Amino acid sequence: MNEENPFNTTGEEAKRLVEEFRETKEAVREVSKRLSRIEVRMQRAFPSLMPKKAGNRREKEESVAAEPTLAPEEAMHVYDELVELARKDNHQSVHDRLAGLGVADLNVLRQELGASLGKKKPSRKALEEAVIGRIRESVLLSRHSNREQTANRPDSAPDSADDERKTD
Amino acid sequence: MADGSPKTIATINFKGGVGKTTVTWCLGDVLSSMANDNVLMFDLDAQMSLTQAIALNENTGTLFDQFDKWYQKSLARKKTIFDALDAFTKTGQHFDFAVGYDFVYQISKQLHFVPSVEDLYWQELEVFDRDGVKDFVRRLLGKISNSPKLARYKHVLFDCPPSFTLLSYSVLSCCDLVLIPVNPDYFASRGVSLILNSLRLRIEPHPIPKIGVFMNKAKAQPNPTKETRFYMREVERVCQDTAQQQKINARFFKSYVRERVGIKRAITGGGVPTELVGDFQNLWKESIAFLNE
Repeated sequence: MNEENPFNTTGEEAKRLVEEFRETKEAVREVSKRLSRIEVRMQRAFPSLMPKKAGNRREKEESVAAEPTLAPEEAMHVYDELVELARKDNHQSVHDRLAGLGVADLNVLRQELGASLGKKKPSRKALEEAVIGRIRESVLLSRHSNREQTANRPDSAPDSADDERKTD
Repeated sequence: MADGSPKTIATINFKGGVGKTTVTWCLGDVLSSMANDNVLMFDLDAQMSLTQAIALNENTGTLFDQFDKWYQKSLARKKTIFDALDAFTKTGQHFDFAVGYDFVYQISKQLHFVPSVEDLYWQELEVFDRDGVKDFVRRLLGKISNSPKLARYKHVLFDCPPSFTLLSYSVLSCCDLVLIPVNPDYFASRGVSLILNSLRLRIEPHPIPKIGVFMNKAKAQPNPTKETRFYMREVERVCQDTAQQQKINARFFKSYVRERVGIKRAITGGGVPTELVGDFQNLWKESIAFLNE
């Protein structure tokens, strides 16, 4: 974009679209969360009227039939690695790593972490969520807020422009 | 503490309901009845759980009989822990407060007890000087150790409130070992993490006592379930990391106490359930070994 050409360049347009795409995805995710919450409340209020979810029987059958490749000790090593990744805020890598595991291996990991799901044939999604739940617990157990340290961080310095606006 | 002084152990966790009171009682019971040691227990929690449970103890006779009569007399004579604290803060160095069996209740020949009082609820409002209270428990223990009227106690156990009160500050400033019970769940584990990370900040410049963390209410059939093992592993890691970062002597114990329905009646029913005696003996052995290192 310049004086002669007021329109976006292809690169600028692509950047804008990517940004819009990201924002829309975020909004859809938020709407999806709200819909899920409404659905849960509907299920609670009218359990007989709400249709039961038709699970992917094939996937479940596969999960039961498959032989895990991870031994229990190996599963705990994988878990430790996942926790390390999560501690470094490398959440995408955690998801990718979990996505790369077979359902049977995920189930071994879930069992070793003692995360009970109350289902004999849990779905991949439920297994991943159970493992992620344990990872979150582990990360949060070591997270502490130290007032002095927080106050000394550069991003904690008062924003002078904001201060000026407030005093106007 | 000087040689010959009792070993002092405080049970604490900022999370309520982890079993601080029951653990304190069970250790006191096992030690006094099976190790033949004189044990003194303190209830420092204004919630008065240990005091109430002992008042309901079926073995002390009729409900509200023996203990309640003694307790009423102790209140009337101003011989409670609150009165001791009041005397300490008012008289300072002189600490004019005589201790005897009107201050200490004899549950059995070798298990003695200093109950809590409701007034402790308001203690924080009435006493503002944290440093003024710091030496209270140490001085009180000195009086108890030197009193010709009282038994020679080998161990003193403190049941602390699930928060950092002036009294718990005073105990933590002078005790030999802090015992932190944890349960196999996130919130109890978080309570351990909170204490370990803040203890140095709160206690300094006083020496930080040794800290032993152990799993209480462990789900085991008979070995710990995977869920329990997960939390044991996590809490052990928290202990190791924090010990290194905060330069404190904190250890996660290998011994654990299993969850049993009968434990709820351990105090009111008069004793540790038979199947859990071994758990508490192991916990005690590991605690003492850690203390003596």
